[in-house]
Amino acid sequence: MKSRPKPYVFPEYCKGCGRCIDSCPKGCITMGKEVNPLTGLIPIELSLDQCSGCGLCISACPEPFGLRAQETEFEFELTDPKSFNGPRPKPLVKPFAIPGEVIPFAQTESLVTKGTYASAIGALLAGCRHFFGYPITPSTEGAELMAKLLPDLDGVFIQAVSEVATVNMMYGCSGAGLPCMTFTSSPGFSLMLEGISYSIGAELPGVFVNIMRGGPGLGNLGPEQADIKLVCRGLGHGNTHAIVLAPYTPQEMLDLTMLAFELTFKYRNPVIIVGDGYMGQMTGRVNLPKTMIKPGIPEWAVYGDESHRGNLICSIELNEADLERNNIHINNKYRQMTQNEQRADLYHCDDAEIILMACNTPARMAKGAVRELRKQGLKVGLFRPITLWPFPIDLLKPILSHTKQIITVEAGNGQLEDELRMALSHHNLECPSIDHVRRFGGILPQLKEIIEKVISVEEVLA
Amino acid sequence: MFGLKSDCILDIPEEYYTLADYESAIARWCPGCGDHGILTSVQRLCSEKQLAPENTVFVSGIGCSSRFPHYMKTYGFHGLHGRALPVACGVKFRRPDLHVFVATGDGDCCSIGTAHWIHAIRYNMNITVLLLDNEIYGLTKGQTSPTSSKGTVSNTNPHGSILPPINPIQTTLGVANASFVAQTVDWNPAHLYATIEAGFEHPGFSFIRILQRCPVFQKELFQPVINNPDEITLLTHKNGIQIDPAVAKMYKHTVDHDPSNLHEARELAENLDRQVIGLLYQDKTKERYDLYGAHNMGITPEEKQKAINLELDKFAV
Ligand SMILES: Cc1ncc(C[n+]2csc(CCOP(=O)(O)OP(=O)(O)O)c2C)c(N)n1
Ligand code: SF4
Ligand code: SF4
Ligand SMILES: [Mg+2]
Repeated sequence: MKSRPKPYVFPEYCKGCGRCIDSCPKGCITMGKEVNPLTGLIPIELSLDQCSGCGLCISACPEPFGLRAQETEFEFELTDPKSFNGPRPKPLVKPFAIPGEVIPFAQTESLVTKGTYASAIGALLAGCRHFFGYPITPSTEGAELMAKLLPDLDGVFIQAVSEVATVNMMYGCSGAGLPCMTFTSSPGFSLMLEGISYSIGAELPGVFVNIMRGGPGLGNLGPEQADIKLVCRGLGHGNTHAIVLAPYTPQEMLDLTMLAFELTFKYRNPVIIVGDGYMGQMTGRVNLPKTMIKPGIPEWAVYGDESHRGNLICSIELNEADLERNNIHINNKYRQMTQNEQRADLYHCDDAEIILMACNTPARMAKGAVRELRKQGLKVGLFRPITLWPFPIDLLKPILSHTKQIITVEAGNGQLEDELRMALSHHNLECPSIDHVRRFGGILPQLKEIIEKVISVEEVLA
Repeated sequence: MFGLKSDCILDIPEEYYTLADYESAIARWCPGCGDHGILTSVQRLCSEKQLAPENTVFVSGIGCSSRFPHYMKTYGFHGLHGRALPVACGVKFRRPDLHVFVATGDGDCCSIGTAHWIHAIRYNMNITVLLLDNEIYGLTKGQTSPTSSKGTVSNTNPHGSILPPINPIQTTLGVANASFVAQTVDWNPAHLYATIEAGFEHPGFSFIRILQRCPVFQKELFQPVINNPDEITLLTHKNGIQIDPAVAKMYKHTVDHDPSNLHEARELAENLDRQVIGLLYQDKTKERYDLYGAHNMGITPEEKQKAINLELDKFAV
């Protein structure tokens, strides 16, 4: 009888599935105890005293090179694969960037248009030709304008089957290095968080416009600012952050959308634009910029051309040390954003003793209140954060010395105020007295309430 | 006979629910919306079947159609967009004594809720599902839905939609463990009622697609079919939907389709020339997940104690 070969194991090809263990009638195989440093897996161990060489384990092993027969004679000669196909037609190149261009934009008259449209136009001027979205009031008009225009601009509009599909289409598109965006509203934004976390992990751009509506839950279609916590502190799982821009006019809806595309590529990180429901619907004069962007393709993109070969997009890092390094790198980017990207608008703040703090539509009411109160001789100013994350603390710091009182004005339960308090605390700044005007449920703080609040506070201060 | 409904019979049982017992707020659907007729049919069913309002639940997602529970004076659950079915399945899993109905829209069920839809068919719990299909997103004001026919001009397809629609009947028939699949129309109250009734009587997941008019965002969609019943094929069979012969006479095209014949049902569903109405498929013997969900209800504290000990004893030191 032909003597049968006993098995031996290639530890680096064994994934430790254990199928061979169950197949061995003699119990020769046990699960190993040590992690193989090459694979991170635990290979089996053989003890062949009892082995009859039945070969059952070899056929049970699903790996082509997991278990082999000891006496198998390998007879082969190595052939250089190059010789099969002849020399490469072109040499391997390292991925490189195809630069974008700034092109002059013919002067046009200014437009009178609503916020979501202004944002969509801004995206087009920033070179965005890929739009993915799922309808949700009060953001849908932006998407609908894209649906009209993109097919005629060599672009792509896709109505996804849900917000989950939307964010993953964006994940793919931005993986290709292309500017892309979506319009959504609060419940839809909630559904996108998992994908946003992946985009941050994989260091991908993407612009998300969240026209916030009343919540929690389905809430209503009224304007609220109750997602500030979500966009500043809650972008899915992991150590996530993204620049958050808060426009307060249709003009800013356009300008900040263009800025968002610049920043999202600069940092390879998503950028979120938040506006309350009115911000999306509000109509106003919008001047178009003098230039527009023809985007390039960054060197990291998985673009499918010769200049980008070999690139891989992923957010998985199985090795703890690698993942820690990745987190440190991403946190460094957050630090740079915090240093370089703080933006705010200061209105009558130079000598103000009372500072109103508001963003989006409530900032318009607050501005009106400042105007009124200045007429009455009160030293009131408006500090309007344009970046909610990073909070523009460096711009607030210089005026704090003469600020006796801050009053936050929000359509929400103090989420902007929390950002302020956190920023003050992180910078070890003495917290001035903070009061607030808050409305909920799709009702914005009214001019009258803000003025009354300031006057009541002023009386206490005096 | 004599057009009398059971409401008119003088022999009044002790517990008696009239239509008014199921009527809640005034429906806020647009005038002429097909949803109104469907609501009336369902309220009539509840009163005909004498369903105790406290034992009846309407679950929905988000959409015009999903406002349904607001207008039923039963229990209601107005859920998340696309997620009516998981909620309804949860109710049925642990409260088999309740009558569970689902009202969902074509966007709700066939777009964002597709995964739940497919698996709810397979779970085959005893639920009556009404798909109010207007082939458009109504509540968000006119975007393409997965059931919009090819070429539909909408706000998100201003040049006309590109893809052929999902056929919800075909899809449902394709899922393992499907047990009741029917199609009807909102503008034929007799057929609508009979279909919903058959779905309600079916022990399992009854999926009823109702072609529903939306005069606002799909103005003319069903008008040709309404004007010309010849565009519809009526399924007739002794085991199918039973309607008054006078109503059935309206339809020139009929097929005597045995609802136990899945193969033929699939062929009928694929017929793109003419919409079929009636019962395409029924099998009362399919496995039901809700029976499993309730199998351990009401076990004694002693039995629970025993089960816990059996498991935790493994960890004892
Ligand atoms: C997560 C989420 N995304 C989007 C929406 C917005 N939305 C509400 S209803 C609806 C679609 C409605 O269409 P359909 O299900 O066909 O119901 P109909 O109004 O036509 O009856 C959408 C997209 C939402 N409420 N929640
Ligand atoms: S069957 Fe192969 S891969 Fe699996 S444990 Fe055994 S040797 Fe390893
Ligand atoms: S929009 Fe259409 S579906 Fe919605 S209530 Fe009006 S008619 Fe009905
Ligand atoms: Mg619909």
